[in-house]
Amino acid sequence: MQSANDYSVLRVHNLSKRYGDGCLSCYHLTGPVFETNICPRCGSIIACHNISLDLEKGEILGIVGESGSGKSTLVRCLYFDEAVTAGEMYLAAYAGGETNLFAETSQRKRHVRNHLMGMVYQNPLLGIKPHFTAGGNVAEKLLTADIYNYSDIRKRAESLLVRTEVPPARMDDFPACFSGGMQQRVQIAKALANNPPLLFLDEITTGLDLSVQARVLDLVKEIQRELGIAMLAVSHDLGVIRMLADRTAVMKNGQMVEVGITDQILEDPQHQYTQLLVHSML
Amino acid sequence: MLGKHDLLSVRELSKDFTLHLSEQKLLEGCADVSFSLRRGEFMGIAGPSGAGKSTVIKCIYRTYLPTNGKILYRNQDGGEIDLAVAPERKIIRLRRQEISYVSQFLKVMPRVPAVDILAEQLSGRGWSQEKARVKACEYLELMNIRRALWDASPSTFSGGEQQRINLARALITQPRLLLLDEPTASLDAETKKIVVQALYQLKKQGTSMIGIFHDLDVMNCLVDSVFTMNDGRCNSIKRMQEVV
Repeated sequence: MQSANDYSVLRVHNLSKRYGDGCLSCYHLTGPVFETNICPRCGSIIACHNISLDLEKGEILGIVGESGSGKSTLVRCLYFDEAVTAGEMYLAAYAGGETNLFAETSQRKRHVRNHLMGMVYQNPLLGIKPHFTAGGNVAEKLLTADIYNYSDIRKRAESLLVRTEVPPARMDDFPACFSGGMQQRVQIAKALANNPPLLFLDEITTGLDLSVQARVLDLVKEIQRELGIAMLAVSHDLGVIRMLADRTAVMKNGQMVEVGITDQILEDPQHQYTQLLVHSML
Repeated sequence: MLGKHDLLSVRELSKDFTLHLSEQKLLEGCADVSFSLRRGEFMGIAGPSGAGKSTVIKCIYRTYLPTNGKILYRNQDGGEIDLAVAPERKIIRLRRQEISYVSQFLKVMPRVPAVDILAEQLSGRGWSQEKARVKACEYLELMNIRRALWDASPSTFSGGEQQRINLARALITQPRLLLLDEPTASLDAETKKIVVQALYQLKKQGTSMIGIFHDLDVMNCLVDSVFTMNDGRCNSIKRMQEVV
């Protein structure tokens, strides 16, 4: 593998994800050139093809692209929600960054996910259980990360919820009766519970009203600054990416068409599709 | 190789834009631009709008990807880096530590108070929260921002106030190289004086600067040499005394 430096947190090499049986033409007849990710011969969907990326400590990499470009599939693969078709992933915090995690047993993957990763889904209810209390949701993540002391859990849950601006008085209430924005903040608190070196954010502000959006983004930035967590932030909203990401990758029809420093992507886009995307911004 | 006293040397820099959405139309931003900036020097860029002044500055900051040429920079450790082709992470690190850019417009996280916007710059560099806030207040004071505004978000500020926040955000970090894109446009005479004074102080502390100015008076107060551009090309480089 390519050499990792001291800052490296995550390396992904040639990740591909195909839905369907696949045929020899799949990878040759899909992608931005063909404006489709559905193989015309066999009908398989090439959700991600040959995606490589790396992340350093404290870095936020933004991933933009239209719906169906494969950006959510990518993070779901990295979080082991989906099995990859091909590719390698290395985490510096796991086995010295020299073991391909995709080839590990599902038990090991679960361990990595519980101890070294956090995930915030677009839909808060995918990440939290609405009929566990807010504190109970955070506790759940702590338990899976092998923290069992009741008062430690209680204290940690409280400080995380305060951190994400969920009033401690509501710690023992059920997220089912929270607003969407507050559910989202409970989800972020839960994702941070195990103090992960790596956090995945999948469209976390989509569907929130503007006033809450700004608060959630500010929270994410604060977490980056203070905890130095590396993050992969998927969004179709270039405004969100501009605020959050140090570097940005652009996806189209399952492939990565461009990567660069965020302001360069926004002000001097190279690829045809990125130009279209940027110049369509309101 | 960089000269012994040079901080930055731009060599035959060109930037073209290919517009894929307009039948691959090719626009020339700048061509064959060369100049050197000595340590501690303040260089002004002058010329009509559309001459490519901002293009040069944005290439140095790597907001634009240079098409051709070199941008040699001597970093804090004495090493030499070509900013035109340096890896993205290296550029991002330089931006955090040494090189700042002040654009014409302020872009910040909505609803964050002015004082926090400045303090963030320092807390991102390892300052404690309290010390960063104290320093932030000093700079708000220095920029003559009314105390009542300190806890308000800059989106509620007037254009001139926003521009001073924008400037303060760069000044507070005391960068080694500061790039300025019309920092005094849209400021009244009184405020302009404040800004000029602040830039002068920064220069005295050793910061090298490149700035685009339309205002000859301002340039006269600050700049050591003037680089004139027209139609994407360098016309002349003169000492300020020769211009006035």
